[in-house]
Amino acid sequence: MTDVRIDADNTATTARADDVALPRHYLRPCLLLLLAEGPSHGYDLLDQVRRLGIRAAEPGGLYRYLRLMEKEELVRSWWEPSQAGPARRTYVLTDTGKRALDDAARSLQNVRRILIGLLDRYESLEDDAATVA
Amino acid sequence: MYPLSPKSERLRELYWRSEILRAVYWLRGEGYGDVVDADLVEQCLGLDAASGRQHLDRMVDDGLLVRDGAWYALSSRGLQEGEEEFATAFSDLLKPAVAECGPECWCRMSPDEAEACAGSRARQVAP
Repeated sequence: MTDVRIDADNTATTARADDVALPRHYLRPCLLLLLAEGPSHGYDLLDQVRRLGIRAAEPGGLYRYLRLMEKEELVRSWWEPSQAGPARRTYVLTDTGKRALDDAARSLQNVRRILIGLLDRYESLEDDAATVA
Repeated sequence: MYPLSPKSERLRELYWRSEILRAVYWLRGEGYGDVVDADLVEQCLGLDAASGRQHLDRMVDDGLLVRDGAWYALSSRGLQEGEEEFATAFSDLLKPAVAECGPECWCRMSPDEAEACAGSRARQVAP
C-alpha cells in the first residue's frame, strides 16, 4: 500500500506503493498531468491518482495538496453549482502549472534513464552468472 | 507552525473558521460525507487535532456546526452561510472564496479590517 504523507513543510512524500518506492513528490506530477488532460473535481482526481499508483491516497491529503497547489498558483479552482447536489470545486491547470508539469516530466525522464542504466547492468550481471554456472 | 495563518489570534480564528468551512463543503460536494472530526480536519488542513477540536467547538458555539460525539456536521445556519458564501460565487472565476485573499491583503492587518473585507465580499455575492 502507498502512504501519502504531507510533511510539515507542506510537501507530499510518497512512501510506498505495494513495496515499490515511488519518486518523492510523485503526487505533484500526477495531479499536474491529470489537470493538463482537462478540468476535474476532487473525487475524480482521487480515483485517477490511485490508478497512477498512489492507492491509499485519501480525500483529506488530496484536499490539502490541491490547496497548496492553488496557493502556488499551479491550479485555479471555483465552486460549481449542481442541480443534483451540493456545489463542487472545479480545478484547472494554470500556465504556471503547465510549465511545472514540463519540468516534472523532464525530471522523471532523467530518473527513467538512470533506472534503465541500472537495470541493464543488473541484467548483465544475471547473464554473467548464468554463463559461469 | 502554520506559516499562512495570520498572527493575530482573532484573525487566526477567522482564518481557520473559513478554512474548516471550506474543507467541510469540499468533502460534502465530493460525496465524502457530511461530517468531519478533528483528525479529518488535520488531514485536510494540517492543523493539529487538538487545535482543530477547539476551532470546531467554537464553530458549534457560533451555530455553524452541530456536534455528535467526536463528529461535527453543518448546522442549517452553517449550510445556509456556506451556500451564500460559496455557491453563488461560481459565476465570477476571479472572485476569491472566503478568506482566500493573499497573505499581503490589507484585511490581515487588523480584526476590524478583516470584518470590513469580509463584508465587502459578502455584498459582492449578494443577489
